[in-house]
Amino acid sequence: MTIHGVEKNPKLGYYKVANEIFYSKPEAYIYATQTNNSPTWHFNEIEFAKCKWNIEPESDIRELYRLRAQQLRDRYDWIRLECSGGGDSTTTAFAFLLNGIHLDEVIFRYPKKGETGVTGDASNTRPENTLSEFQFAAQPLLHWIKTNFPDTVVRIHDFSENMLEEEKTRDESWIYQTRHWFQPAHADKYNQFNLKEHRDLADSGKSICVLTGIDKPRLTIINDEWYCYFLDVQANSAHPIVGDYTNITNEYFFWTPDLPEIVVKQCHMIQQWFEMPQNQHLRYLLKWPNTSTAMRTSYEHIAKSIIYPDYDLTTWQTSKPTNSFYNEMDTWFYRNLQDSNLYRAWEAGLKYIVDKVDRKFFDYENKIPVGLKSNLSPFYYIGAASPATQTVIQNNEYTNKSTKTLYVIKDRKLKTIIR
Amino acid sequence: MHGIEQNPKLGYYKVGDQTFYSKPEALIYATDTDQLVAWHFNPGTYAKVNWTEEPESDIRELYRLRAVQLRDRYDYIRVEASGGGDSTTAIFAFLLNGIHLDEVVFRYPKQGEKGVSADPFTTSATNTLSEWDYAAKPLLDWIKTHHPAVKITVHDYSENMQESEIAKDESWVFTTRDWFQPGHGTKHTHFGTSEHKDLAESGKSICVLYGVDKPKVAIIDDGWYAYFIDLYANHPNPIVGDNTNITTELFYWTPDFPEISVKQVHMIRQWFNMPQNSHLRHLVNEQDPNKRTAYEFIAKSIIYPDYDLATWQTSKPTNSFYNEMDYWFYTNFKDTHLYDTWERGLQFLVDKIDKKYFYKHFEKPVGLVLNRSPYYYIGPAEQQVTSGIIKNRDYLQASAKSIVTIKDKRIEKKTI
Repeated sequence: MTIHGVEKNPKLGYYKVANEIFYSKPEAYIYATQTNNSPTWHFNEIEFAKCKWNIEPESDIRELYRLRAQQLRDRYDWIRLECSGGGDSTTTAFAFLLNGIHLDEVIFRYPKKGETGVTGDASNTRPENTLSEFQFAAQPLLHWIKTNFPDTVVRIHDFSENMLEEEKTRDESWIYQTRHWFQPAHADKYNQFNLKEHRDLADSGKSICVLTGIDKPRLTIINDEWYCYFLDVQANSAHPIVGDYTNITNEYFFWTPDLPEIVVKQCHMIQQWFEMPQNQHLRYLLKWPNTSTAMRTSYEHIAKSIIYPDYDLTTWQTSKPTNSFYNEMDTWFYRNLQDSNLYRAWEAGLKYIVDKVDRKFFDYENKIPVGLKSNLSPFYYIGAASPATQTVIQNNEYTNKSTKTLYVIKDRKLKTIIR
Repeated sequence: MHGIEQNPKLGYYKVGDQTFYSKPEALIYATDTDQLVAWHFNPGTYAKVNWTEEPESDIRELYRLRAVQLRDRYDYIRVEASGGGDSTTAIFAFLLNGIHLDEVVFRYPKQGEKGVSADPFTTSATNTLSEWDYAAKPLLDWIKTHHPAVKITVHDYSENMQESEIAKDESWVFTTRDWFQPGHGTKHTHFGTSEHKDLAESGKSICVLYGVDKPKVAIIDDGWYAYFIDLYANHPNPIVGDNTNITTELFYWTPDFPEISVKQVHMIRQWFNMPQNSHLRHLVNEQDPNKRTAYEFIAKSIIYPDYDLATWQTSKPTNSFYNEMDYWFYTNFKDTHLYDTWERGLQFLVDKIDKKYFYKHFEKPVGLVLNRSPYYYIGPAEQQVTSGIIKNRDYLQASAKSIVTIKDKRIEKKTI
């Protein structure tokens, strides 16, 4: 069986260009460029449009996490959790383990051969130091699992070995192995066939769930109303390359149409916190449009503390990267594999995509393309926001320069607004 | 025109018996004489302050009183404005209370802007020049309209950089105290325009006012503490030469009005101590830039009630030497003598200063290590509801540091 080819699973999101459907973002964008069309991203909007987003589910959030774990357990023979040690994947692991639901495998991915000189410093939390998350964030979690849940297979996958196997053969076609994150190793990192055990499992015929902790909900306030939306950048961080295997299914633990109550509940918990009189002054972190990475990161810190009740928020973590193409998290690659063919193939891949995709589809930093533009789902109405306080100077004229057309779903009606 | 202001209120360094107002000078001397450096930031005054008692006055009233204090003391007050919360709130302290402010100056390297500004979608620190368009200009326009008696100056310091003496050799490092950016020494000069030179010569008492800074807080052993760091206190560039009529003032971090810092830290502590917010106390973490940024967003929203928090802003830079905010310089001045001199200045520091005094990114020096004041006890932290099934904190031992605390008039050394 071939092991190339992206999983054709609409629950993970897909792109439409005219009448064509694509599960690969680069393929969609290249086709859109060639045919002079605009791609649209579809993320379970029919299922999500039917949800009652403005009604908070009564169940406790822990109970909803448990139900999701049970739902997956009932559906699959083997569940492998992609684990980073961060709040999303750790909470996912807890949903199983703390509720007595068996989790078959937890895997942490690490490029052992690229670690020289770029790891081990706990005082440096820049994304360049991301490999240190193994030592300071993931290892304690993996030890805890090994000790308390010995039936769960804990695996550490050195994906640099797999990369180096391709040193002589890799060309720019690697870009089709990833959906948004054009990092030199993204495709190898989350490959579902790189370990013998994984290949054997795939061939065994068992139904396999590859589970990722995607993701915290995205919330915003537009015209004094709360909305939830999804972003393809986050949905695309999973790596569903399954080739001809029909027994491997990628699942997002949180962003799923199979249990939307999780996201709805999370949104209401976050909304309630921000609507408390003592916290309303922080709602600016959720304003639309929000071009500030720092504000979004700050929001995520707050959101995590509200929706992940069992996660240790002091867990060590590096900052988020600023872009997809020249991702600071790949410093280990830039430093230790600079003179390799892999490096040249990585650069050739980026050049290929820049050459093949219309420039309007890229994000830029100081006029340099740094990634494909993100796509937004419709905005689902959660509820009313209290009116914002007026300040001395309303310093927000810049927002006029960054307007977008948004699709809003409120009271079962679809509306277009420009914000 | 060289010569740093000998103003102990801004902080100074002691190496043995020697006092230095310049951090690089202090560290070079410490290296030469194999002694340690101590930073002093008004410890005598701050140790006497009753940090545990929250001032009764409203924070706006305290800001007003500080503005009055400065107005009564100086003939001429010039605020260094960025459009951010710190300097804008300092400006409001005057203007919203009918207290005259003589001048607001915004510094901008006009000749370095080519290809690196005007994009509101990029909020990384590399796009810092866009703060002019999206943060500062609306503020300056508002001042012009509502307070026409205030002089507004937009100073193109790239002109001064090119004509400046400091372009000639690496001695430019002594024109700044901690921020070894290519433009820093020139950016905040008091003599960059003919008007500023004339003013300096006029004999008037001049206050150069900086919005330094939001309070730093820490939670140690279930107690809240306030402290200061030299990196922020060193942001101003108090090079006054022989002019004794120019005084640099920090609006918030001042021993002349410590009630402001005390009030601010109590407001922040109360917010974090609320039951619904106590789970966010992990953000009170100086070492993690992400958490620090989140803390600063929260702190601003608590202590700057009149500032529009939605004002456009880029992310903070990650280091002093290779500061992302200088992308304009790296892009537009790459092959100049100025660039070469900047690099030689950094090399000079690395050659002259013991490596223990640098902080590093993967072994590469990227700035001078920061110094902390004593930690002043504010009050207890409410018992936190335990969060976390797994206490994932072993890394804390790998990044521990020694500090001094002052609580109940007692000094204690601690490792945190």
